[in-house]
Amino acid sequence: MKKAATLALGILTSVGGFFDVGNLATAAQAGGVFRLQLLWPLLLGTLLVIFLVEMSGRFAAVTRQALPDAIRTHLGFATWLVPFLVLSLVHFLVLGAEIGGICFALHLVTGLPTPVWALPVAALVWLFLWRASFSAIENSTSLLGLLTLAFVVAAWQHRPPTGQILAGMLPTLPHHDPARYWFIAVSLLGAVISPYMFYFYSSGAVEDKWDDSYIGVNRGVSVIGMGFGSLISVGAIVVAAVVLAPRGIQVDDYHQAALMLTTAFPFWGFVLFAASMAIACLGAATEVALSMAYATAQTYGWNWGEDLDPREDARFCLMYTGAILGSALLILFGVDPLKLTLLTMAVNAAVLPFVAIPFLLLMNDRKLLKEHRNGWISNTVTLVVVVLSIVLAIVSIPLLIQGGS
Amino acid sequence: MWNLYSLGLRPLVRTALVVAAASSLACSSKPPKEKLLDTAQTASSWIATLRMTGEQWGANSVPTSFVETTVKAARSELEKEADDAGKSKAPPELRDPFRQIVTEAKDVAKRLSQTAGENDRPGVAREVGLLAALQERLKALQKQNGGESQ
Amino acid sequence: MPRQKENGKGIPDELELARDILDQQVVDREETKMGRVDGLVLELREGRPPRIDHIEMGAVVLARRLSPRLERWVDGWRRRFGVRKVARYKAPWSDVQELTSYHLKLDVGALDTPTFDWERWLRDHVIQHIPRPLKGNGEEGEKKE
Repeated sequence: MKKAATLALGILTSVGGFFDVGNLATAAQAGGVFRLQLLWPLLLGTLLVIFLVEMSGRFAAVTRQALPDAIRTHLGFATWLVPFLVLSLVHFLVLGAEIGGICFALHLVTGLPTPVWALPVAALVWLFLWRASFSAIENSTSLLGLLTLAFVVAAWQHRPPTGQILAGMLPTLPHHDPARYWFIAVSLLGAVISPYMFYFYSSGAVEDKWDDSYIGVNRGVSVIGMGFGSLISVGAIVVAAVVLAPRGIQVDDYHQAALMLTTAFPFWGFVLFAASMAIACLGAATEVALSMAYATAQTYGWNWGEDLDPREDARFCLMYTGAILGSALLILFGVDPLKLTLLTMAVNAAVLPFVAIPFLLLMNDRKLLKEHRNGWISNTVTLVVVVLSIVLAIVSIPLLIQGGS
Repeated sequence: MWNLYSLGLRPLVRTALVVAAASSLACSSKPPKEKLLDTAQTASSWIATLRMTGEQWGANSVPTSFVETTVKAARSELEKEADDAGKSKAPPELRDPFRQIVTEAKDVAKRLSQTAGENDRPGVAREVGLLAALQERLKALQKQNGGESQ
Repeated sequence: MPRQKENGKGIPDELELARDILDQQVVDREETKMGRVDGLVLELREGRPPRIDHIEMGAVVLARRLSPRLERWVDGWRRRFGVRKVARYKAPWSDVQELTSYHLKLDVGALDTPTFDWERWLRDHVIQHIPRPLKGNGEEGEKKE
């Protein structure tokens, strides 16, 4: 019974938690410029992320270890140091992008400039982490995050052309702007396969004291939750393709994305967009900030846990405090939230090898996982991720230089 | 112990850097006309944004503060594009009319924000009409010069 | 690989030093996480197999694994700004109570060791000044007060 409740809640939270600032920005860009042609990176990304999330949960359930913890223990400090530092930097940028998203949503509602909101929002995110327990944070933001289903409803109301949606699910070459096409494709992948998710998810499984008996729950949560979650991104691409593209609007600024829901829901659409954006980014911001604290605490072996009194894990708490404050400064000093988001999503894709290779090594460790180690399907997928991620890393660097500008 | 380098990543990283450097060099030298057509695409998107914002304001779907902040963002982008056009070495038959359109759009945007602020509905509708006309002019100009308009 | 004689404690008979001990999570007798096995010191004995003497913990130990220059640099910073008095915390192998695939338990209290110098300092100088949330032991503590 308890397992069924965990499963239901897990699915709901991963649907609600799927959508964040990166998904919103890349989907709006993809739909605005290439209509339905870029649905395929989203689908590919979803398939891969389902496998990776399932693996990180299974690993945590069987070994009682979260990923950063296990990587340092089993692959060694020298191997982990560079990926750890690079990923921390990337997470810092992602956190800035999420905080920027909340600030922009508040700017939409109040009309006050986005940077004005940086410090109040940082304080809010921090207070939330400081006061609430792990399950309170995870459940409240993710359940409220179901609000982002508004994009799916809007897409449905517009009666999109089914044939074109199906055609967009198969990879095709662009008719125009190839650099931009590939840049957005890479960013879409980076937004779906965000590295922080694996560190957050596996640390969360340890916080929730998962054991072998949760392997089934984990599979259900990752396959159904992530699968349905990606529907929201599909919805956002469709809405952008149907509402923005025919009018000739491409999203170079969040103001342009803010018009997405206004035709499907007159009057409420604007508020719904701001609310979806704020809540999706708030949920993601707490997850990213926690991921950074988890990864650092686990790397150095500090005491950690979101359910502990901060007096017992002072270093862990100060880690997320510093991360939130530092990344809010990016917004305070006027970095454009959309540009930051798009850059960060492409960087996400570029650092994927650092995430994917440890998976391949750890998930095949007989001594750690015994009969729960990867089968040939999971290994094939992980291998695809590794190869794809190396290709992406090579491709995304020049794209970052020219497509991003 | 496992090590990333033992997996043969070092040559890959080197190749990546070479490819990155080469392609970014190759791509940064787009001809001025192409570059200006890209700029025109962005400008056209901003004019379309202003138009839709005005329409949605008329339909009570966005608040006045949104019109004002969108106009502010659009005007600073259009300003940048007018500057780019001024410096561009693209043929004058593209460059000059483009600058003209962008400058006009900036003025229309300013009036859009003012009329919305005064809750002047017919005024907003008029500016929306002007934006639509500018959008058509820009589209025709892009087509004449072999640009792609989506 | 050195073999450890069955010692009645929770330590497996056969160990691979780098794999099972180095970088392992260290916990105290209350299972509070106190750091990681950053270094491992062996004792070489004439005519007999080498034996683990003690484990080492500390940023300086970690830095040394990367380069001796980094070690000097980290130690300089520690002397100038650090709150940690002792650069390396050395725990004799005889203090090891249990070794599993996910932790190495020492028969000590984390708070009494230099590994918690920073933790203690931050708690007393920073955390103390922020109102405490109602979670973890804070909840019970709040009720008692």
